[in-house]
Amino acid sequence: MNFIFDTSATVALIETCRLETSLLEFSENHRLFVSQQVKEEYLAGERAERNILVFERVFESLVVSLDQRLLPYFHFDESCGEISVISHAIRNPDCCCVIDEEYARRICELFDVALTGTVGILLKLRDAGLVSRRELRTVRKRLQNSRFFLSKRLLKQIR
Amino acid sequence: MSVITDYGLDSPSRTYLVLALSVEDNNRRKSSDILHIQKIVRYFEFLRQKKEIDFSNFWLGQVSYELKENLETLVESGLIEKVGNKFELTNEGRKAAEELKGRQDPEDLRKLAFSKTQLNDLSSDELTFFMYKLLPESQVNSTEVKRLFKKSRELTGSLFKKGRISAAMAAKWLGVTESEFLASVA
Repeated sequence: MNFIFDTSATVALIETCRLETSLLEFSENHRLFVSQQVKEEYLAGERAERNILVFERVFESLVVSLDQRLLPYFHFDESCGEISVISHAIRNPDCCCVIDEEYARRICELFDVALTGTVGILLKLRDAGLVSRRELRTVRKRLQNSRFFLSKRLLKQIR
Repeated sequence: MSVITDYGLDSPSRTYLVLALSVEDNNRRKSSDILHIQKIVRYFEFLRQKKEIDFSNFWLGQVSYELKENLETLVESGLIEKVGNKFELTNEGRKAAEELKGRQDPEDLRKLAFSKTQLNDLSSDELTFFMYKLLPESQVNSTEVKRLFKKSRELTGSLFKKGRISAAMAAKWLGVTESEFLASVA
């Protein structure tokens, strides 16, 4: 399976969870994509933890044309990175969206595209033996202490 | 004769009233009260960017007399019934909805289903606030906008947590950055 990531998931995995080594190993068996728009969102801002080199090593960047059917659901704001992520997944059913925000996840369900989130990727890394349970506990604490919005129910799944 | 011609369901307001009551919300409930059904149809029109039904700015934002009158007609003709303060389809109404679905653009049906899941289970305050923010022109004659806007932070946070708006929309509504908004709800 291939994956296309939304910005918040890339920030959570690289900057908050600091899992670049595991992600690089994971990318040997799975293609990890970001849209050009998501890449630009990642590069924007002044975050101290931003790591462009790691980002470019882990993720393949794609130019994605937007599926116009998605625009109404994002209230016609073409700047939303999620539109490019879902557009790619609609055209490529072998590609799974990695999106955490509930709103965009609902749109994925509406268009019947494969969907997971940061927690789903963490569990895949665990199942592939790329992250230990001990490391996952540290990751969970980091996520809990960050500005990253995850429900308690999802956080509990990280074990 | 088809149910559609029998009941004059070829008019947009009647079509969308019947179809809106035929789809489920997040709690798998199909019934709606008068305020929610008005806003569901208005949001559906926003998603389609088509104006087929006449709405005017009133105390609770945009409402349509055309929809209200047609809802009453459909109740009188037995396609819709009122149970408590909620409206729901009768057996005949469900039959009509099935016939109508076959004639609709699938993209429109998707938008209507989304509109119902977006709005039907919101509280009246959340619903009215959402619509005021979506359609700022609907604030004009409102008797509620001041009271609701005092609760902007709380209502926006609640809509975000329920997955009805994105962090980007929420931040825009509150005039803060996305990361400031996320920090406030984390």
